[in-house]
Amino acid sequence: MTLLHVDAISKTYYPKKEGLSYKALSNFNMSVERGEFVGVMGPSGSGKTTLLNLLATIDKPTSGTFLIDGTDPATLNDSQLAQFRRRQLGFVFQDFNLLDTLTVRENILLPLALDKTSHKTMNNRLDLLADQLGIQDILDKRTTEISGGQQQRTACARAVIHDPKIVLADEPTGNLDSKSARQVMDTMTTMNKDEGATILMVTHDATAASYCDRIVFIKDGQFFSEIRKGERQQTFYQKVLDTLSVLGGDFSDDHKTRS
Amino acid sequence: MTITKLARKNLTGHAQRYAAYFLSCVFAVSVFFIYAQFVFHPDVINGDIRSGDAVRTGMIMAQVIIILFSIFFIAYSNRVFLSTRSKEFGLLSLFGMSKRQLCRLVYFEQTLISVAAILVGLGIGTLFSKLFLMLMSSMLGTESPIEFQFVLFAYSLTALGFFALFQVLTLLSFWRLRKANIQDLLKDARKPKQMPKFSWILTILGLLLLIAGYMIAATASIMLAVFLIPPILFLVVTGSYLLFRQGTVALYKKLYDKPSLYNGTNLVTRTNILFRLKDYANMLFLTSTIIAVVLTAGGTVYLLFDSTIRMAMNQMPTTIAWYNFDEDEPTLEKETADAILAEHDTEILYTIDTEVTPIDFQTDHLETDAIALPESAYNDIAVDMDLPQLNLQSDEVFVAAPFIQNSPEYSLDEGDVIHVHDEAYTVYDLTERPILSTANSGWIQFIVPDDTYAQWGSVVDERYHAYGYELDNWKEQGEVSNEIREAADSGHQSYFVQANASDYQMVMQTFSLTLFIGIFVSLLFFIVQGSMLYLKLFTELEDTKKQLLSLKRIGLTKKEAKKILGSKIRFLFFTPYLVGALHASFAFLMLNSMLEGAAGSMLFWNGLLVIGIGALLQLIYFFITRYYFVRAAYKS
Repeated sequence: MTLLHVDAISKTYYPKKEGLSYKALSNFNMSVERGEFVGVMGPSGSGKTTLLNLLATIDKPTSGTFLIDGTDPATLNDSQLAQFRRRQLGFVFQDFNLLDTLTVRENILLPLALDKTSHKTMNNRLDLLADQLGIQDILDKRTTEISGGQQQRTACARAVIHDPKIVLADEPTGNLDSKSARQVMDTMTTMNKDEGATILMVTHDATAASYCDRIVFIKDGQFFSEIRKGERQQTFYQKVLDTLSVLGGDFSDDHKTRS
Repeated sequence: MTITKLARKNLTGHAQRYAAYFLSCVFAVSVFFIYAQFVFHPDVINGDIRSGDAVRTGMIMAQVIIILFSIFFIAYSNRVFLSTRSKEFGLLSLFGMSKRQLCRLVYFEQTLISVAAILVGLGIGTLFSKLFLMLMSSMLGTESPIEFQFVLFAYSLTALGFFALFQVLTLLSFWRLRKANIQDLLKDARKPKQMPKFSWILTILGLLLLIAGYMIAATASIMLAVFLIPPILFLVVTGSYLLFRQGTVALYKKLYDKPSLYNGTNLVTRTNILFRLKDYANMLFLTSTIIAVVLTAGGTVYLLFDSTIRMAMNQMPTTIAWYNFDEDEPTLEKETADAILAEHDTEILYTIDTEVTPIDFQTDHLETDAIALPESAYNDIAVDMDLPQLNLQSDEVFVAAPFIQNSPEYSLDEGDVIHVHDEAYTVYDLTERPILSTANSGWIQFIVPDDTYAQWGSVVDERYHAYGYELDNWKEQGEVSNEIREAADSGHQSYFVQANASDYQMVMQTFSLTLFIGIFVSLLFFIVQGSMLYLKLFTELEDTKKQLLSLKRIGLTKKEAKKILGSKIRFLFFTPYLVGALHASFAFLMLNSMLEGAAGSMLFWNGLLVIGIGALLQLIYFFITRYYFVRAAYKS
């Protein structure tokens, strides 16, 4: 069953003063099935972050529409959009996006607290999730006391605590060393397999991408190709690398320099 | 790029960041200048003002307070402003800028800002000084309004004085800058890292000290009050300091442990405040103290003004009143007064023209003199004055004495027995409202049945003649009153002609200036505490923006964001106000017992009025700050 359906969306950035307009996405189509773990890859400037921002309803497409579980976010006003983001979407960011005044537990519960969920539901959900993701030991620590990998796993827990329709992950391993990155990807796989969370992840890290079920490649704002995972992760990883070499472009460019 | 260019670039590129600091400087300069423009105005210096010397001392006192205020306020703003930029300075040092170059950069920036602030401040000051001069002219009741003119001395004093002040503050900031190392500068010192700790012992100690201070203040007797003020101040100040350092943390930790923490935005608002409390404590303590002082001083000045006018007016029976003690040598002929009143076309509401007799009397603890008038004469006057009619028994005396309640050693109560010419009489009732002039023996006035009056009169065989005029719109009758006073027989006797309007105008003049200066200075300090909170808040702007962005990304509505910001600003603005108002209430309570009798119940209402006005001003300040802060936080 299709959960996310993207229908020919384009995004053009117009400079404020004079200058050339820049087409970040053009006529882009894709769809994600319920329970799928999809990766989006492409060289720097290919439009993958733009795509994620549009899906996250932080930005609005110039043309085209998309439906998340039958809802078109373009029909919602600002306040409804915020509520939609909070209830239907889960986010994992490269910079973790945790509040440093809160403990790990409080950060995870924040989306539920904002929606004034009952305490019982909150605690049940947290216990279950902490168990699955292996973060029981750090629940009462402050975010400044834990490692980057732990912070990102906290963010993952927060992204799924409210049982969102889809989790959008923007370079979740971008700020992590390879060991932490592997742990985070394991966490995301658990979220996908055990929790049944639908995940759309943007990345340029081939290792991280090899955890996905399917990878969509973008080039110059357009669909380039798509590969699916077979039996073994190792062969899938090799296929990813092959596609990237065909795709070309600059993959070492630091993603953070663009916003 | 040279250092000067970098300084200029900093200023123009980050105007928003400098705005709060710049505006506080402009404000201080304008206030100082407007006041200096008045004090050093040639008309004021050459003494075109009545009751000159007393007024001038008051004005110079106020100027000194304003100087202190400027130094304090600008020093505070300067410190806060530079501390927000420590990270930037750290970065510049990291890139290899030497301490010397860094100091030069700060020096250029500060000098540019201060020169601009002085110029703008003088400009705004010039615009508003005409208004201020008009206000002062009417306050002082000058013959002709003080003309606006460019007082060169005020300009140069303000410009040079503030320039020197800014330079000194900049040099002082070098000292701080030199001490800090790069790592300290880079480390965001303002960032909360750990759960704040507190001690129960200190919290309870603070609470006990505060309660002790309040208890002493509330129960202080009139005799001991003066000696008790220093210990009370010590107890209250220490107590509230401890409570702000420890008690607030204890309170918020309690809130933190409550299940309601996970209800809506509480999670964010409560932790936001909790983690800043240590940082806020000193400022909250300082602002609450300022508020307490402002409210107490404002309330007291207003009370003095109010009660002085009331007391002065209560002692007056009619607009004009006097006695002719001796018909051959009258203080003032009635015909003379009539003529003067006719000449001025003054409308007379009623006149009093009656005979009284002086007496001596004793009670068990006092022996003094008074005047007596017959009941029939009183009842006639009572009709005009709108007072109740009397029907006294032969041994009863009705007493009209405005001062007697204020002097404990002369107390006289209902039912007291008094002796006149060896006969005993009972006090039927007392009133503070005098019927006739209160001069001389008239300070106590006995109303007795006509028979008693005749009897007393026959023993003394001395009669005074009492006159009184009640004029329409009496407050405006200063001129005619003065003329009547001057017409009185000889200089030393003019005191015996009581003229309400002249006294009223004199009291108004001296006190309204005191009141005005009191309110002006109070208002200044009020603005200072508000600005301190405002500046503090804006130093957190970057962190707030970051937090808001985090929250917005995971789905926070604008309404909730406003709630989060609003609750923090509300906390900052109203916690010190509540504490300050509580301090002030106990100060009023103490003042109440000191002034018992004179103004007792009025103090309560005056105190409430002052606290209410203060709360309203704080609320306005809160709304303005919230508006600008929300706007600034939303601007990316």
